[in-house]
Amino acid sequence: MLRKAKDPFEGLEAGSPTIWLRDHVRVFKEAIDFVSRRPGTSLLVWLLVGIALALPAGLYLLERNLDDVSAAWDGRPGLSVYMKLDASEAAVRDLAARLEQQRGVASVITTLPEEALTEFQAHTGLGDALDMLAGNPLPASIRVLLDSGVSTADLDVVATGLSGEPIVAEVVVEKTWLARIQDITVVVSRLSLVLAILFGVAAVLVTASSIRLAIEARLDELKVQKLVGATNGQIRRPFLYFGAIYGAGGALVALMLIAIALTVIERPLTSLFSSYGAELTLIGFSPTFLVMMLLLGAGLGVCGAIVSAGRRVHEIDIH
Amino acid sequence: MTFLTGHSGAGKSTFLRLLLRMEQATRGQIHVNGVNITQLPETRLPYYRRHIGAVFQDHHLLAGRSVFENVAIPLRVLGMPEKDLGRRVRAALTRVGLLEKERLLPHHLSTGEQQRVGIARAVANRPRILLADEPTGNLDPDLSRDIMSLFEQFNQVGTTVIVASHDRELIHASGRRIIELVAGRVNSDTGDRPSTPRVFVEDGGFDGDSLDERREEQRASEG
Repeated sequence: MLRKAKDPFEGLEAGSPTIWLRDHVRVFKEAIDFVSRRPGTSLLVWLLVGIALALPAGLYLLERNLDDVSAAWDGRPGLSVYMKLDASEAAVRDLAARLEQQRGVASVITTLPEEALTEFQAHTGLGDALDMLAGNPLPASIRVLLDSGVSTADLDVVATGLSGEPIVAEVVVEKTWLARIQDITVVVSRLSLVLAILFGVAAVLVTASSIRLAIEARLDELKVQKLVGATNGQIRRPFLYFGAIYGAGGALVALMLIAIALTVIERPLTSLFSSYGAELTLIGFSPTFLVMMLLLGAGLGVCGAIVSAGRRVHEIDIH
Repeated sequence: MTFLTGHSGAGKSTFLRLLLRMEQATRGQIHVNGVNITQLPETRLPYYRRHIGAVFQDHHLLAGRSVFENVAIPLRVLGMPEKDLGRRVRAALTRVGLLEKERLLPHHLSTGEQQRVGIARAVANRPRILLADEPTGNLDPDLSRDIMSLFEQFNQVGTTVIVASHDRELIHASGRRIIELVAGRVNSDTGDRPSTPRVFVEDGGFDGDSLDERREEQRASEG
């Protein structure tokens, strides 16, 4: 019976997990060393990747916050009913009582002109100026919250009924604001998706071209490695780490840019929200977001490295 | 230990490059230790090369890496632990007399020393076959003899050594098998010596070996 001839060149294959892991640790250290020895190039790549990632990531955060604003309505549409200036307190309370009895109404909050003025003074700090006015220019108002699940049509019926009341000056349907925010959220969501794809590709290309330069700079070394028996995978490995480091560094820069942008716009946003009587709570810039950004950046960097190194390493000519 | 000699363009370097599969033969077969390397798939090629040490006239040393790091390259490819790697590198450098220069960069060394670093790198992972392409091309006669003496030592511990050189005086002084090439063909062959490597070429322009004898040997070794 014929026996299969033993391959006399077996035995020098880097096959064990320990060897594989050790090689990864060594290559990672080398990659860190390589990147840190070229601070100018590395900073430029990080900045380019960072800018490419910052815009879609920023839009994602905006979308999250708009979603949060929408969710704050809790699905319950509401109405703000502003009375005529000459409406008596009794008439206002009577209207509020009737509204409370109406089907579909969850709660009614009445604000009399004096209470409105006090609130206005507290929010604007214009106490002294308002004291100089001959009378109170603010009307009484009623805020009506409807049960969740009430349709827009039901809301319109209530609004129309209120508009017919003799003491009512104006009815503001909050549902329209909600609808606007939801529309804006959809636009921002789609815009961030398109930009994420475009700028993601840009980040991959920036990393790929940087890694291509790194390959060409180390071509002599790679040829020697190939000559002494390095596999294409071993030769490619450091460049995958370069890609991950460039990508993760770029993500870090993007996070810093977003943090700076948030710091810059936080004060005017807070002011805008407080003028509507709301409290600004920016969400999304969480530890999970930071980790996801770093992983995404590293992933895009590795993609760039695969694009760049995959074919080039295979083509290295040791003739 | 075998010497390949011949004029420039005779095919000495090409022969060594074919053995390393740096070039692919257009016809014929090359068997190394019973393996037809002309049909070796690309994925197996790196593992084959790990058993071959190669020394070149222009050293192929990395300018930005120390002597130690240059010699360590094949061992890093093998994934050798740092402790063992350091011991093996220093053993190879001791063998070529350059241990005290392990931290220097190649450009701080003389040409002869650079050549010895190249040899240390080629033998660091204890290859089965050592190929040397004009290893004494840039060296004076004394240094050339030193290098040849090193090759003799490696051969005595079981490494097959094939040296391509046009230094006839040095070659003939060795008393080893000498194959002279002319235009890619064997012009003369001093014949087998006890240290003849198990390398032969079949129908590839070189006809210095008895193929039948080799086949018999191969069958016998495969049981």
